[in-house]
Amino acid sequence: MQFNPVETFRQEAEELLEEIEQSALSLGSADGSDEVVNRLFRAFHTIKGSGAMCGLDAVAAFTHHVESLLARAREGEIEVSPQLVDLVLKSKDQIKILLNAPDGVPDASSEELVSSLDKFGGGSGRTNPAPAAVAAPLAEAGKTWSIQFRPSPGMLACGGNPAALFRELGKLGNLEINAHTEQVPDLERIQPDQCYLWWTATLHTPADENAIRDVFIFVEDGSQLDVDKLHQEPADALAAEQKDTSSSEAKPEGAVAAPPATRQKVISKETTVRVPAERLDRLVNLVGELVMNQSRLAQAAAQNGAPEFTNPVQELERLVAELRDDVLGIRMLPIGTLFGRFQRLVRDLSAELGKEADLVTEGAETELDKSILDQLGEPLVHCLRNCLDHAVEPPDDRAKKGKPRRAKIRLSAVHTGSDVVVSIEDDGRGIDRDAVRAKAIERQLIAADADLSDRDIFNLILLPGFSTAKQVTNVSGRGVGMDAVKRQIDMLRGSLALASEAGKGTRISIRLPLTLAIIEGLLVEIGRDQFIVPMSAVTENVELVATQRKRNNGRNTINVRGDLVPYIDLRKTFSIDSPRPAIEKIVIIQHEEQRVGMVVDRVLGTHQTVIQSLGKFFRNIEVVSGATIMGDGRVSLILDTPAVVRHADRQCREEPLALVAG
Amino acid sequence: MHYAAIPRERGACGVQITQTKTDNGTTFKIQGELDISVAAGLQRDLAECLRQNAHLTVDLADVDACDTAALQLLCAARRTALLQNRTLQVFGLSQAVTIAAAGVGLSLDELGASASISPQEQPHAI
Repeated sequence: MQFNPVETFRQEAEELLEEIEQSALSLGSADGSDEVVNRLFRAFHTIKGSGAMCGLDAVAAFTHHVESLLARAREGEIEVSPQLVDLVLKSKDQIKILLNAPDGVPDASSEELVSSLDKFGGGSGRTNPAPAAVAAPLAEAGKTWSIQFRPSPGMLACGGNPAALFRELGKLGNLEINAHTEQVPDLERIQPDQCYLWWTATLHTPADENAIRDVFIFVEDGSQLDVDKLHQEPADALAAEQKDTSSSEAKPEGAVAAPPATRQKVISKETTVRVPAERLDRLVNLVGELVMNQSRLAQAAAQNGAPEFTNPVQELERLVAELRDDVLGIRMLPIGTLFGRFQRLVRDLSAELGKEADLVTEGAETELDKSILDQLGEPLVHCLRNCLDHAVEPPDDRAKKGKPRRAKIRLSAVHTGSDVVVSIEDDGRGIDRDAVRAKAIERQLIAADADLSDRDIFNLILLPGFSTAKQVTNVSGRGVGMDAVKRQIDMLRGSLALASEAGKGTRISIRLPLTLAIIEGLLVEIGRDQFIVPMSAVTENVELVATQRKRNNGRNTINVRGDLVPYIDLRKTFSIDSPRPAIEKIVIIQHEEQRVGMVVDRVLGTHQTVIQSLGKFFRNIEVVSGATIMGDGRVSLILDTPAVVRHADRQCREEPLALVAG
Repeated sequence: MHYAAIPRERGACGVQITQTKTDNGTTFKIQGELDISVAAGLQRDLAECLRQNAHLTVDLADVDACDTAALQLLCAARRTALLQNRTLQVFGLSQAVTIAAAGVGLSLDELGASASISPQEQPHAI
């Protein structure tokens, strides 16, 4: 794979823009706005510097104006206000446009925004020229800056050249540099390619702090750079510096002076490595193959009774399991990366709809497989749009009902066993049970006298094309939302549940598996066919004796410690034509809030299951979620337990038996 | 002794070290391009030379280029001499060395050079 610096910059810039959006939104609400402004400033500064380095001059030039605006906010020249937040957000959007523009050429909107940025808060309408354009004569007017630069030890080895840096710095104005040698060890201990020198400098220049920091942009990683504006006379500053130096020199030989915590801003070195997602996918696929081959090897060793293989095979199994967990762990990302982008959505959408709402997120650190996260964004956007459009009342209505004017939407994620439950909860008007029922009767989905529980009625909303909205808006109401959400969640092997109380609010709970690639399965057999039941769904196994079937008069229920549990005969579901054993097994699974049994011939044990897609020809098979290749080379189908239950439910209602849906 | 940067042709660049015994000790003469690529070899030889000689004179008059890593190494040599109670003097600073030191704000004293002796006056002073 060829390294493309521009592409890498684009990826980094996207991340920084996300961060900018978060910070900008928190600027409007949180305390400590100074720190947030600083954070914004740094993020824009990095985009500017890296953009210029990659030749994206339009991005760099535009960002320079935003940076200048933030510099004014930092200096206290302009106040932090909602208008400032808006402008920062618009600028963020504009940078995104510039980043994605094929030629990166600024358009009219860019110029308009630049003008707004420069004129904001009574600005002069002119901003300092970008650093590249700063002419650097010996300035009569200007400020004096004290600079302290402690390079990373590896700077020289990486090709960093302090002399060139100071030459550049000297172009900005009058520069005096002082190298500090007290950390240079003796000849026995010195590593010649490491940098032990550090520098203090005084610079008198009309250029701003950004221009100074820009000089060091290529050596920032792992270095400490402190740029302070001096209020005293340069001569005093030098004296102060010398005093500082002499005190440093009094330190014991070889001691590395710790930077004064109050003055230093440590430029943290990234300890992460950026890896393209497709490489990780390939790694996961390879581990999948490895897991399958390991299980074939284990089976072959067991069947051939080769005792000398037993220990190595067991050891291999342990290592492969560890490798599998670690590799899958690499793909886990905190769900907060997804939650972050919804703050803006809720802010913009509520403004558009004339509503007031706050989004509260919880459990942002909860981790999910990247492939699930990638596909979860769209359903959550649908849910939030629905929530704001239908559930949240206009502020006046809320006030009349005695509710706070601002609605609260709570988006949370929590681990439960091998699943993650994502909930979207609002304090709006709740689902109108009667309206849903009336609509369902009108559309002949239910009989007029049907006796349905609240849950059944709420679930009608999940049917395709179902909407009770009286008016279709560009936000929602077309009835394509919730069924799309349901379909997407089903595809992710998750489940969706609705709960609502009239006048108080609605909760949508989405239960998702942690990963889609490899699962722990229970291997069962019917006749000569083997199936995998996802272990996460299994609660227990019980026996079913032929006489018990007869005693129940053909009703498919079994008494498990006093509870009647319905069971599904998988032999019928899959039309397997082989004699039943005298004693069958029932694998009891948890489906939503009830327990359901699945009758099989034998339970063979647990199995590390690598999920393989069945391919597009079999994509409509409802009751299986994939297949896996067994140790002996046979293919086992992985049961989609909720779909099996739904299928059996339909069978009970005497619908035509069909494995292939739609 | 001759060090060359790894990717470079031997003799095309790099440094040439000559050690000469005199009445006042040993002269350690460095010629050529003194940079990070030859610093490791220079470190070894300077350390060895300091171990064997109580009085060492480093002659930099024929240094054609000098970088920060090399300047830092010369600082380390001076520090080592002080610690081991030996004398190390740098004479014959070439223009390349003085420019390099000035470029990073390093005082010539830090290298063990006597400020009173200019390179023009005593280019090869021992």
